[in-house]
Amino acid sequence: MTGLRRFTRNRLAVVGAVALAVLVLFVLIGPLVYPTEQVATDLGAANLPPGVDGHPLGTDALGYDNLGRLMVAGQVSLLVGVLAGALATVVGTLWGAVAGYVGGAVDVVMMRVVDAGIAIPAIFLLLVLSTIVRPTVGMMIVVLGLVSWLVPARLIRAEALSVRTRDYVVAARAMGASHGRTVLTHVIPNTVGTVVVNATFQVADAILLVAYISFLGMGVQPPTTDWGAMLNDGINYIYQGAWWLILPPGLAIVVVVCALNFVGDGLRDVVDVKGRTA
Amino acid sequence: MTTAIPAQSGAVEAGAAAPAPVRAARGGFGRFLIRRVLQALVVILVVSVIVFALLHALPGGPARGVLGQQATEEQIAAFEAANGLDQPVVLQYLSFLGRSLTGDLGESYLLNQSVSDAIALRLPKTLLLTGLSLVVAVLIAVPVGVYQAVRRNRAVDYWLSTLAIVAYSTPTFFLGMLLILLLSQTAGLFPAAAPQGTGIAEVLAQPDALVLPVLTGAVPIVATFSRYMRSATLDNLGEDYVRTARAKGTGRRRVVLRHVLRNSLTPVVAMLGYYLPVMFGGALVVEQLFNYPGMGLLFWSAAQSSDFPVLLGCVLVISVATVVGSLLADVVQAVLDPRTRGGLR
Amino acid sequence: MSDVVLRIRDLDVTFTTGSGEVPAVRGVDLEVRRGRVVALVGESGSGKSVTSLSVLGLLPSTARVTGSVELADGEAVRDVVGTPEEQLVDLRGRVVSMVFQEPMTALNPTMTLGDQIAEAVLNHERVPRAVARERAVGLLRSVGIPEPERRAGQYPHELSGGQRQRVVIAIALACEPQLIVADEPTTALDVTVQAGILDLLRELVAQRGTALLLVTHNMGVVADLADEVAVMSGGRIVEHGPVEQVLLAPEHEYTRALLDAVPAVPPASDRGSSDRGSSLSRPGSEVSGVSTGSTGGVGSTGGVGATGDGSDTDADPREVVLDLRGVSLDYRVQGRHVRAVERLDLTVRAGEMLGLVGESGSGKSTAGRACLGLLTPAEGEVLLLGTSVARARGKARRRLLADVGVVFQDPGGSLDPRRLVGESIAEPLAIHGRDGRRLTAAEKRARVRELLDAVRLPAGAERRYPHEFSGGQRQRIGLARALALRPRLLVADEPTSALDVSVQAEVLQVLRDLHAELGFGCLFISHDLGVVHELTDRVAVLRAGRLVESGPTAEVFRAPRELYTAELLASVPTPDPAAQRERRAARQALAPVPGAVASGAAPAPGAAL
Repeated sequence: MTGLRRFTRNRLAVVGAVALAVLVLFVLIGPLVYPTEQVATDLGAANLPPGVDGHPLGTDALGYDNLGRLMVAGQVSLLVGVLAGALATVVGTLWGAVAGYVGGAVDVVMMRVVDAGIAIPAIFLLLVLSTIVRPTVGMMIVVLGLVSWLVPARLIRAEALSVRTRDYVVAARAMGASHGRTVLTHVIPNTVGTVVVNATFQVADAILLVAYISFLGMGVQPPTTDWGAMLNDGINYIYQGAWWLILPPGLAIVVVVCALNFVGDGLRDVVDVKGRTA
Repeated sequence: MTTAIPAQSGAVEAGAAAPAPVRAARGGFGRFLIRRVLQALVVILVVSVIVFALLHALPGGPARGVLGQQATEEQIAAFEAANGLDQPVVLQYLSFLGRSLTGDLGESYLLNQSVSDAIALRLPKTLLLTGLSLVVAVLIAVPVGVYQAVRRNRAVDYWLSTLAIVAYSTPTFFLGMLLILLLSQTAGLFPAAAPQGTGIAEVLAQPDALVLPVLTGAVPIVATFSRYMRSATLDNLGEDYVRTARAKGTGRRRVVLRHVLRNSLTPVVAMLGYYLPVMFGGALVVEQLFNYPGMGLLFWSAAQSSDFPVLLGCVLVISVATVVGSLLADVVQAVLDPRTRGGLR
Repeated sequence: MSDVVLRIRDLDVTFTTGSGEVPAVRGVDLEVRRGRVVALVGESGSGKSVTSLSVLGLLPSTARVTGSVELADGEAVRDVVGTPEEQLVDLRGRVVSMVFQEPMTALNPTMTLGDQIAEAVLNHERVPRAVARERAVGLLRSVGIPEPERRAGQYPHELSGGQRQRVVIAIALACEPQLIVADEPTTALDVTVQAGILDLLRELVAQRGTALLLVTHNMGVVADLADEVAVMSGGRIVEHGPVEQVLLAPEHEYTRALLDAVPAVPPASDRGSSDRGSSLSRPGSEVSGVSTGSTGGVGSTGGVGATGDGSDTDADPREVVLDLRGVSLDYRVQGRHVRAVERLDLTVRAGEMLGLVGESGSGKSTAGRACLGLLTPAEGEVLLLGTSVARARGKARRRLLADVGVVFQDPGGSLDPRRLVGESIAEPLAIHGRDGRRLTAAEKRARVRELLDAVRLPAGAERRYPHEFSGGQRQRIGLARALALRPRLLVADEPTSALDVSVQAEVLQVLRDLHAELGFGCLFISHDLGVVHELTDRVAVLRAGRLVESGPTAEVFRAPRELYTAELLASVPTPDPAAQRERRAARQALAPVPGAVASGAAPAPGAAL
């Protein structure tokens, strides 16, 4: 059975993949089909409920069209999430692979650093950092990536540790293969599945994290916005029943994070099955 | 686990990746304890280095960071001389470490209070909130996870798993808003604001106001731990000893309750330790959302006003609390497991 | 139903899997009577374990069962097939109970042994907990666990594997069932420990009249214990009869092939006779009785005894390819050094096969890893072709290792699951090239074809993945890879232990042929004395990291100098009931307390297996 067939057998994974595709099209193509003014404010048209004056999802306190805002905010959320997740995956994989494969004292030192990083709750660290550096989109990517590489590092280390003791790696060493060759031909190909699966979860977590930071008012600065910042703006009007400021961005986050988790689970099925039959 | 509130999706895998103290403890329980405590001390030291580095990364250097942006040149010069900021970095670090150890975390320049006092006033309330959320969450997650494992791949397992992913994917603040809208605004069951007051007793005297914050904090924990419990139970159900128990005529229910549950709980207890940073991160959001007077809210207000001594003090205290919590979880796990308790082999 | 305790009629078991229906058992009929031992033998996939699980109704929910499995319950007869789980719970443990293969995992790690046994009692009898506990202590005593009162309060990890299996047996006995199903009860154990467990089971059957359904692949175990044998193949019983008839005069072709494939150790009639002092002290002393020609296979190695006497290194013109000089090896546990091998001397010459035998924990695999340069000796030197492998670095190390091939035990783990078989076989070529230059893709392809042909695998195999092959085929792929560079030394670490006997025979034949053709020296590490006897020229016996004795295989096996070797040899059961009775008597004469001599490596104090 091919990997694709295994993936499509997991119905939720297919649903997730479709939802992701739709959302990506929505935030990238949407503004071309449905252009709106997202820089200049229009206080005359503030806080309009859905449907009024040709605003399908109403407007916010600054008079921005809410549907259009959902699109441009989504661009920021997805961009930061994907790139920060990718950065975290790359850094974490390298760190973990080196620690796990080299082992010994190097491993101990590298893992204590990871332990310390993990001990500092990421939100606390991110809030401190955002008081120090001005949060731009690029800065958010770097900071988020550097805060979230710890989980993949731990995971890949465990994976590398276990691959290292497999008989085929021992056999390669006994044949006289160099460390470099062993890592390139055996260790990396056999951990890449884990890395890919984890990268999906990393992106999901980064999207959540960026939402938290923005919700706490320490994220990207106006007029740039993202889904978390939209929620932060909207919470002030929650008691006035302005549900259209809360539900769309909130649901967008839930849908995209769910979709990524479903896809990740589907990918894990593909990777696991291969490992088992081998 | 590790990053902030998110990171649960990787929870199950990273749990497996976490060092298993049980198997590492061949040298006996005493040896294990010493090793684990030393390891925690090293981690705390590394944390202190990170916080020290942050202090030096503050805009205008530590002096302006500590004194505030309004400080005059004279004040800064006096502060630098008084705190040895003209000395080599290593000495500065050592004196920072010494001050931290004696509980001197500096002065907040907004609260007219020392950082230690400000934290001491609020930390217990944060611990109370997280503790309550944790207890509620575990009481739900453990039976749900076990039930799912016993009914694996049936419709009910499928739906509960999906629900757990949805719950996990919902940002805590969004969930909190929904709960406020539904249970407070619409149904009027509970107040939307958290209990106020200086002491724990005052907070506990307003139980109905605690419901929404505790519930909001508990949902993501349930989502994570029900998944984790499910997979630990599944692993154990596949073990040989379960077959042995069934072969001697032990009923399914008893096999699960008397044999499997205990063995599945051990790894989950260790996971609790790794989950602590996530819980503290969640507490910050819950406190901010419900205006609960704990350490998270203190931290958040400090971030709004760039009150750096409070920010760094909180980071240090929360991190130490996390390390100690993980240590306790590992020790409890080791005590639960006869293979480490006896210290044989 | 008179004294029939189990009657299986027309049993069919089919598993529903993702890829369709897989029949596992087809039309099996079997009867077990009170006090009788019926052995169900066969290779993996024959359906023997599925049959045994169906007796307790322990098959997974994906199994569809038809036919009947009747158990005598007092005057009543209960059919396990179709009985709901709630009623099966009442039968299990009381009427029929089970002993499993893997004692290390069969017990709950967080429950005391006493509680685990008492639970079996409490499941079926309304007695106070204290009474059940007392019964548990008595049961521990009756299965030969010393200090049962103390042991009852201990946890499984505090016992050795053999003792744990005794506890599992005690659980099975707790409610005095009429039938015990034992699924490979000794397969995971060392031979000397196995002998003790077999003694215990025989005693229990004799004293209590319990019937035993013994599931095993080991013909020696069958000969030792069984009254009747049913041979299974492809889900069916192909032959069924009294043990002497089936083992000595098999009618079915499959049974004959199975018995022929069993490697055997020579008979024991000459060892451990009453005057063991003399027969054990000198090698090559005049002994008779090598004549009980029931166990074939001695002649197949040929060339045994190139060195006629016990001293095995001198006066041999062949080049020494592997030389271990006073090698000690440590492994680290929590910063402490634990000695695995103590001052070991070994030599392997070109064209020679040296068997390195020992029980688990003897250090034989550790020694093998040191020969490959994977471990650095704490003392002494490992010389490959005259050069110290531990001290070689970089290019020199690589060149040295080009002359060494390696085959591991696990046929699944030794090939990279993500690489084509052709790539795996060509890996040594890719690392080393040939004659100091890289090989072209075409040259590699040609060499891979040659190698596949040599290990009798079809062309085209190189374009497939390891998981598409069976265990035996994968082991032959591993052998092809090991021989890709025509090494002068082959280190084979338990290469056939994970395989069925018939598959093992094929792999060994390939190894033997290639050895004859290529003339490499071979260090053959194994716990299986039969295989070592059939294959090797010389043998070295290891125990707890120390060399016990070494010499020409035929000589050591015929007349061991050391008591330990003698006991080890006597513990191997032979597939001939009469010969096995003699062998057992000889073993019991060697060690009046079963296994007392061989318990050296047991971790816990007071181990008496």
